[in-house]
Amino acid sequence: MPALDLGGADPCSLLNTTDFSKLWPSEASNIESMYPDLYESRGVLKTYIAHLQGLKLVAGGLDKNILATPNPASGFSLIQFLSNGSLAQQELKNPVTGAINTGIDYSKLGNVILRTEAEVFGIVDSYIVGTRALNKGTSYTYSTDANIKVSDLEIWNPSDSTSEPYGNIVTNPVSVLGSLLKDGFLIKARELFIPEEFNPSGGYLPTAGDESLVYLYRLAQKGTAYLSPQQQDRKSYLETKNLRFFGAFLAEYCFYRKRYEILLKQYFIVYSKPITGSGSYAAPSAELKLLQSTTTTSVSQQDYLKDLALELAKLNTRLMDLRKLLGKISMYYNTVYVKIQQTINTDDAMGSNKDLVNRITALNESTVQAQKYLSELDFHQGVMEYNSEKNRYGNMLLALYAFLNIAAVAAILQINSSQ
Amino acid sequence: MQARQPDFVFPAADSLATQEANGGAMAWETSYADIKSQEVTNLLDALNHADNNSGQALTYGMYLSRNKTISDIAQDMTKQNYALDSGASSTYLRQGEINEWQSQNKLDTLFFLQTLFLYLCLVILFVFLRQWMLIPSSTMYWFLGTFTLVLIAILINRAWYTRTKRDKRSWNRRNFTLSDAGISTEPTCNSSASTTDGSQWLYGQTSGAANAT
Repeated sequence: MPALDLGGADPCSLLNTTDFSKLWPSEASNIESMYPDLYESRGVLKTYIAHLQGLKLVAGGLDKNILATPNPASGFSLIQFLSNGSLAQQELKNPVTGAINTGIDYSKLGNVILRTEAEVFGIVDSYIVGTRALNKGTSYTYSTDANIKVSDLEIWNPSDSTSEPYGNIVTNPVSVLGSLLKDGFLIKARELFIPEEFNPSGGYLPTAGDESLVYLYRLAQKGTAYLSPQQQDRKSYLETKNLRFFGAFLAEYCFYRKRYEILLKQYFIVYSKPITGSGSYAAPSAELKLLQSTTTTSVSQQDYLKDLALELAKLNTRLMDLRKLLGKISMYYNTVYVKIQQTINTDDAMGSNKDLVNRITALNESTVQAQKYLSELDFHQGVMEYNSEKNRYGNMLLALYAFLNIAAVAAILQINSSQ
Repeated sequence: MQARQPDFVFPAADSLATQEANGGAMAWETSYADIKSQEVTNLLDALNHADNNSGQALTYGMYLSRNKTISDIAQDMTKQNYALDSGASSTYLRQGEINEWQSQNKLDTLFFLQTLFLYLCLVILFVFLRQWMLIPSSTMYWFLGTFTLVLIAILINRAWYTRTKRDKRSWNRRNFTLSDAGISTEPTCNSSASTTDGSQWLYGQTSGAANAT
């Protein structure tokens, strides 16, 4: 099941723009009336986490649906998840007490965004601009030459993993993806699959709270009673991790996309104004904080377009880096699954196709031997019983002839004595 | 302000929209829709791909796990199949051989008893013939003596054959020793023999004879 409908609507249009109109403003909004929601100060964008913190301060501010029209029966996993359907709505039954934990309601924005109890995070604000990973600070604007602002290695650095593809994440990762993995916002390779479980020498048992999803699924296949409440919780936590991240990603991506669309539309509107004549360009009536220039009353069309372009460039950089992050996430899991695929198809490891074929061949051979043994067993038992019968018959004949001989001896003695 | 290279700072508008929007008679709404549409496609592609790959990793993990489960089951069944050979068949086989040997031994004993019975019948016959004066006593004793010798010969032959020649496991098999085949079990060559392949031990007599000639 794909996350979103490729041929469907714009994912950002699925979001609840009614309750979160400042987070995801409509492109039809009047830029002059809404600039305080877009900019903190001149040329400084009001950040995503500033918006979230604002919502957090309002009672129930984050407890509204993330989607405009939740659809738990959707055929797309992310829409289903953000509608609190499927995985999100798992009922975790405690096998001991029978108590049902209905889990977390992932249809609410507050349960989807990257956060702890006290803090909210944004990929750009916390991991690129902020100190959680790259600490780019105010230098994170847009590139003016071929040197991109965030390099591929800054998005994902393989050295953040102790060993690819199944390694742990190092204590101090240097990339955005490494930091997100370390903070537990994305499922790590070892949370998906632990190769030691397939070590032929065996004997590996994961410690409590360290089980992989594959291990938990194997236990669950035996029946839910085999999973402790903690393991059920962990299974649900791991299953929902990535979908939750993609939900949070969508919320943040659309935050920048909506602003990009508003400014782009404004760019085209200003650009299409003739210099003179009917409907010609007029300087903005209000002080627009997106403008770099402090002279706001008589800003020229050229300067206005230039500043809009610079702001668009900033937003475009964010959008591209966010998509680049998705690409690296994709590559990270791709490395894992290609390695597993390779293990299945070419290696001798336990669970590989080769191992399976060898085991089944050995089973077939042992079955032939077992069948041969069973038929021999029947035959030997029959022969033994037949010989026992022959012995009994032989005993009877021996007794008969012993008697006849005795009788004959008696007859001889009788004849001799009668002479 | 720095000189900007538009393609880096504003690729969408620069490369597509600005070109389309060139001049006053443009339809900027079309360009705007194109940019937006491209943006949506890029996002959907990237998001679906990332989600798909994480799902694939799990799917392949489960595939490997399922393979391992089947492999473990196959291994357990193989062990069970081999464990079937508890030795009962060998016990039955040996017991069958013992029974067969006993049975044949009894038949051999029966053969002797039958011969003895026949002998006793002949004794009775000759005693009667002597009583009826059809043969003299000396003839009777001669015949009886001959029969007794035959009987004893049969008894000794059967006992000797069973004790020395008969295979202890299969009644109908005769044991052949090395000496039966004309092969010596003792080394016959001296230590100065030139052969080093050990054939002198096996063919001692022959090689001994060959050396003599």
